[in-house]
Amino acid sequence: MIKQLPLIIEEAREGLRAKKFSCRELVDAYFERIEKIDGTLNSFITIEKESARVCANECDEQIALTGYPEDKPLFGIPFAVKDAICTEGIRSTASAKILDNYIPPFDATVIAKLKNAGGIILGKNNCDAFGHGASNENSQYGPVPNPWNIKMVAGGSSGGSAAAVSANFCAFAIGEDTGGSIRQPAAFCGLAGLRPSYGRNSRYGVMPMASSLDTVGPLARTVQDVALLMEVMAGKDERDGTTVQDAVPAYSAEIAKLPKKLRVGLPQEYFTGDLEEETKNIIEKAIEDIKNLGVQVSEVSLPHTKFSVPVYYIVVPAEDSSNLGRMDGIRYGVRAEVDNLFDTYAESRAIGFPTEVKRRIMIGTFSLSSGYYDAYYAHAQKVRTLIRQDFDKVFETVDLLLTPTTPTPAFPLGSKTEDPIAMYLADVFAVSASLAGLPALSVSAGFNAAGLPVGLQIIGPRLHELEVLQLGYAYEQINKWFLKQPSL
Amino acid sequence: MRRRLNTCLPAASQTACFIVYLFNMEFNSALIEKIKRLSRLATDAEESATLKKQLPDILHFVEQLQSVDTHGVVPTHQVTGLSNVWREDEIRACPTDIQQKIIAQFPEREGNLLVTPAIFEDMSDEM
Repeated sequence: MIKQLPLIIEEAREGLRAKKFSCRELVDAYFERIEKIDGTLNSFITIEKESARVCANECDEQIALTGYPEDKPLFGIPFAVKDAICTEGIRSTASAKILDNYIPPFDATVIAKLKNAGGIILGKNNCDAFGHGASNENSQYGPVPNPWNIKMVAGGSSGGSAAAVSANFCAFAIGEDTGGSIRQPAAFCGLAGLRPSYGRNSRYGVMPMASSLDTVGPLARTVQDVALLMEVMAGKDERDGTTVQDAVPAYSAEIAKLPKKLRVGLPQEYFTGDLEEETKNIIEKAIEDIKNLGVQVSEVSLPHTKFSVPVYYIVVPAEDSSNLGRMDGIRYGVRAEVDNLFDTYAESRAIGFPTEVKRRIMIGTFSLSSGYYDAYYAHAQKVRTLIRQDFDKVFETVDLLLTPTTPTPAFPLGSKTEDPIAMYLADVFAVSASLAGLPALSVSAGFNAAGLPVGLQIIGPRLHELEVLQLGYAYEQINKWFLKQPSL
Repeated sequence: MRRRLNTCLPAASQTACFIVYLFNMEFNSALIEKIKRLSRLATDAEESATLKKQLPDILHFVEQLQSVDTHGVVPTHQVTGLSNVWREDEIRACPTDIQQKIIAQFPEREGNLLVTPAIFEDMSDEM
């Protein structure tokens, strides 16, 4: 019997290794907790008890025969997956009714890698449909309340994944980040979450949203766990032509070696009027802690920051509208019962998409349509270049950037659903790094007076995940905010 | 009526003028219907009313990009710098069990065949 579920992956590994509990007991303890509490949080759309128990029994048999296999870094570790990522034989809806019955015949590459490393899938997490949103309220399977205060949102789009880890329904979760969808819910739920550099992790099998920005990455309680998971997930994949050949560092072995004379920049555009006062104070305290590590901190400027959200909301809907063309009710998913081809498309999509998905498809279709392309998409892609150049310039003088992950802590459920622009601005500090394809980590920086978590964002140059993780880890050791649990 | 652009303006200013023109354009029901048709989307009356209000708001929000001079700036289509990623075009057999799993996802089928609504139906009178 497990009295207390492990908080970090190594604790779970040690429990299995030392036979404090069996893998089956661990899996069942998570399911028991999910059954008891997830009625409130709604973080899972699908729970996979049968296959998880079969995997757990196999793990236990192997441990009994040959001991705990040290070459499998996730052996017997239960995890959850955002529902917009394909999992073989497990329903994958992307939180949209058009895929309500879709069972992928294959695993996304990152999922195959996690399973090969010994991970066990417990189920699929709720999210904003196709990743469209910042609050998990654009799901056709209902919103996800925040484990720290159920009147607040868990964040989005990977809100179910963040809530599930925060509530200790699984050891870690895999999310997808196009413009903040890992970092923002990680910040709102008091977790560590990494958006890797574009091209570091394979997108094969991750339902595409905006192909030039989508990334897949981990959400966990600690930066140490994020590092371990990145080691398993990262690398070239012949099935994703945008993955890079660059060697994957031994993140977890190197994580405690914070580089000497590290220079960190504070982009002044992230510390202006958008930033709520209490969040600002918490981030400034975190910056003081980081200075005390011997890190050199200076102010820098990213002058095109204010254009990031408008660029994002031209580029993303354009790519969205194109990618979602495949959701037509013809080859898979839900097909409307109508009598001609056009209505089959239109009605299948009408019932199968929530309003935000329709809004984005329409904006994207408009901006790509004849006569408007140059003024919208092409112009936005040029401003995107200026945003990238800001980062290139700033990384000539500093090694990393520190910012708040979000301008406020988690906001109340329903407070932004009628105002799409207010919702888009919830990601105001997240989208610039996305547009530039940079790695960015959110690490918990503590709590406000109301008990809501606040996230510190660390942004690095392309493919410099290691330094991002090293600084996150060094900071994490000071306060160990991850030890605090929501009372559920 | 479409406003004629001043061809003497530099390219960046032309783009800016064009964007100003677009945002001043009436985002009317006819345009919404056209976009819906291009998007292969149906919406009910309530959703149509919401979108008719929100879409112009969103376009006005992104209007601020018109103030950015992008003359001579190369667009960012990708960030990896990779180009022409090739592999041999080898035929890889799809295992029978995977084939069956794919076929099982068809919304409607006859044996192993996917049933779709008639594709040329609307053209029958013209042929």
